[in-house]
Amino acid sequence: MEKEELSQQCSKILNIAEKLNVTQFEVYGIKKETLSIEFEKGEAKIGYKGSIIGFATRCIIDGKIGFSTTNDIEKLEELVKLSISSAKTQTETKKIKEFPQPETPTKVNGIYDKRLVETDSSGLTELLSAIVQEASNNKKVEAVSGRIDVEIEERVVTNLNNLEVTDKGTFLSAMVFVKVKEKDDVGSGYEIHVSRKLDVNPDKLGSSALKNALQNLGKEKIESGIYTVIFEPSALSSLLGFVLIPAFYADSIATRASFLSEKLGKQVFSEKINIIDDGTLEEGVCSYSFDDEGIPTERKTLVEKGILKNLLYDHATALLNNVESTGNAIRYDWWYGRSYKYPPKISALNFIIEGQIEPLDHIIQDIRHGVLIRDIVGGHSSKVASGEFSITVTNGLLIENGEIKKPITRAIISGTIQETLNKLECLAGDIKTYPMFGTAACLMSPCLVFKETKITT
Amino acid sequence: MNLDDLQSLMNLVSVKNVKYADIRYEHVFTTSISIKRTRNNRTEAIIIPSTTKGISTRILVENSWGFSHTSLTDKKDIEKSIQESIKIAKATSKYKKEKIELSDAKRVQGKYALNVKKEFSNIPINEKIELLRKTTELAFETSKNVIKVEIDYEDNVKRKLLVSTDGVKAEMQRSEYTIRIKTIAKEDEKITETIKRIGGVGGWEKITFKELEEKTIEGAKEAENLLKAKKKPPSGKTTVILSPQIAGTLIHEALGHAMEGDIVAAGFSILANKINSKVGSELVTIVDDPTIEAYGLYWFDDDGTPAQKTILVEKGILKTFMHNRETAWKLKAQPTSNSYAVSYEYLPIVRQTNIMLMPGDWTLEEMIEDIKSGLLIGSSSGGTAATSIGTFQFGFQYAHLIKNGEIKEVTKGSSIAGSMFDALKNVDALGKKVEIIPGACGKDGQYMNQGRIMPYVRLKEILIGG
Repeated sequence: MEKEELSQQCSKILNIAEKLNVTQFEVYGIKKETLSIEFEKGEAKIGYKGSIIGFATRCIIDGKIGFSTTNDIEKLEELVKLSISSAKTQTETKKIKEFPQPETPTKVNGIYDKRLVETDSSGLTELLSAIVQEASNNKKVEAVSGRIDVEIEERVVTNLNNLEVTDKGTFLSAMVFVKVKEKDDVGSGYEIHVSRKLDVNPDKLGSSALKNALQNLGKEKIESGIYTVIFEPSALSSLLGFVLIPAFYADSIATRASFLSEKLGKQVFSEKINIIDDGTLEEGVCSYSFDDEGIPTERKTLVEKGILKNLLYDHATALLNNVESTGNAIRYDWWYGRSYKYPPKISALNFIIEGQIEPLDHIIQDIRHGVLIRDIVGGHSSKVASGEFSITVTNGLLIENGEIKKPITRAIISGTIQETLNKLECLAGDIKTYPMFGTAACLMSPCLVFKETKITT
Repeated sequence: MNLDDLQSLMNLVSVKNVKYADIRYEHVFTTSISIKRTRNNRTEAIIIPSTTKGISTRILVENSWGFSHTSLTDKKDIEKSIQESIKIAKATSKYKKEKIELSDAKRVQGKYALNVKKEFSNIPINEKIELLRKTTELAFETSKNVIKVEIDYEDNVKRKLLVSTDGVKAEMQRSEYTIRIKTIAKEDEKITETIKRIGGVGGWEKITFKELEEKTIEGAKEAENLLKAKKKPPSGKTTVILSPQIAGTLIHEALGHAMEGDIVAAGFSILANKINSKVGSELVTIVDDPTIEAYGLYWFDDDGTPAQKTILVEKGILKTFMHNRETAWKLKAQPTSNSYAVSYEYLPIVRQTNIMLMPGDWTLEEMIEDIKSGLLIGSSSGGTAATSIGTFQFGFQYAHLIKNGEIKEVTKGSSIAGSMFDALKNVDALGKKVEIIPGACGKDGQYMNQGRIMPYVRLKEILIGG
């Protein structure tokens, strides 16, 4: 019934456009129910409930594209008129003449969990309480905070080419942050779990955050020098969305804003690495049956044995390059994430790093002089055109003679992502999923181990 | 929606044991334009008009908060949303022991609006685009190395209504604009990039071609200078002069956040026990003032407390933190007017509004004159501060070497780092004039434009290059 309501509103907008004699018009509608609970210092702090409905339109008039958004269902005519006037004030004529033609959406399993829909604020509070309790299970714990979010989303994309697709999805994200203290020393650690279903294991999540925090006690400054470094997936998720993923966008490639420009078919990284973008993965956090232009999602190999094989396209860049869209158009902002308020642009979906994976403890045993990197900041100042990055390690552990010794104070690593990924020694440890910053994708990766990396302290 | 409509919804929250509740309504009309232009004249513009409106309810039942928001404006949907906030407050109460009270504060009533001559919604989009396009030309004229200019423009007109169970009934309307100019220059294989930001409150009359011209030329010249910069500045401790822009980043990140009541109450501020103690040099006086006509302007905060100027640090002595009514009660202080939510979808949190470092009596030339060896640091490229341990690290895009009292060649960017206390103690000169810097902050995911009103700042013994 609700689904009908959203589809109906979208059709209504389309009809208004048709009456105004526009032939190429697209409507994107979204309805979202969100429920969140937050704990601070071990206690419930607040809960949030949100109901959002929003519409975005695009039109093409003489090769000019217009866009407008609203969440005011009483002013749909104004929405259409603003879209048309936005197109008419456009300064550039594009090659794009039409919005996508109808295609059958990809069948994607496991992206809707009824149990999440049925979860209420009491159930969610209990769940977060169990996580927080587990994370508090040590005398050194000073404060534990946490947050759990449930989102139920309904999407409609429709256009005047008779395309009309709709899907539903659920999301869960749980995060816990632990602060520990020993004498005057303070340590902190966190853990995060993202999923499409109600599958969070409170004990596992809580104890992992606690372990991370305890390992952060007793920080010491390390000497500047050359180390073997292991990037945990959590650290990679704060970097790759800024410096690596955008390099695969067809528009970055075309405008030479990517270090991968003119590299298609060439060896760009170590042959030990494969990179896949998969919007169809079962239970994938960023899996959808169609992208935000209504085009079916796909699984594509971007890098195979270090060779650049494919790029990511949306409808417009695919037309320019005479290829098919890869179904990678998402409406998002690098800061606020996905929202109907932003025009669709290219994003990766489930960004998967693959290769031969070694057990992490074996790798650590063989390292004489290394650093295990858990968290970094500064990824957003990366430059995709040159691949340059400069990041500060905010949580890292020194490895000496095959053992994890102590946490380190701030350290800086600078370089280019292409050189770094050329130095890849191996992949190691468990594959983990993390939401990413800078893109609407999520990362699925094990740890990445790099030889001879310069660290400055 | 008007204040009486909103007031009539208040009876829905009069349930048992309610200590406080408020209902907030917002309506925002935004126009964003982004223009990209390359040297061969390919101009690309994206224009986005958008309307956002919605209602949120915040309720304190005994010691538990509930919050809900909805963009649906049907009476039934609003009533359902209000009920949800009560449900949540009850659900979380089981896991809440700590007592919550709200400190007494003046309650605001009335209607406030910014005096705007040319409201953004009345200006044709064509006129806005034309001005921005004219601006992009200047960058290419200024330097032959400029290959691309990107301008992101946004204006919005926001109407906000607030009613509460304890007598707040107020409305405000304000307009705001932001223009971000990104200039990319290239020589051989080297690419450099600068970003300049213009912004404030007011209508179309505030946006002048003169200011756009100045900033665009400045950005293009910097991008060109950066191409010439061969070396990083020498690492190690040295005397630096911070531009008002990077001084703003320092004061906002390293000190400002540590003075926010919610961060103090949560145990994440190194300043927690430092009220009435010395935190910086005698030259340092810092105020937060939402009554100044800059980004942080408002007439009342989202707790319904009338806007006021707050002296945070006076001649190096920490006087008070910034508060909402809850943190003021927890920390036994007077509430200040710093409770703010970036939109109806968010819960108000403690924010800086317009933070100001009071000026000194030095000209920039005088500040440079007696430096034997040091750096004049330009614009910041962002950074981080750890409020609980009082350390900071900021990148900068470029600097000028100072030798024997004279400005020398430009250097590449690097970073400054150190302890906040050391930095504030080592302030030994402040510029005469202040600049209003359009700043922004993303605390707790709420991206807010804030004013930073800063002079040039001279610091001794600052660590360059980590």
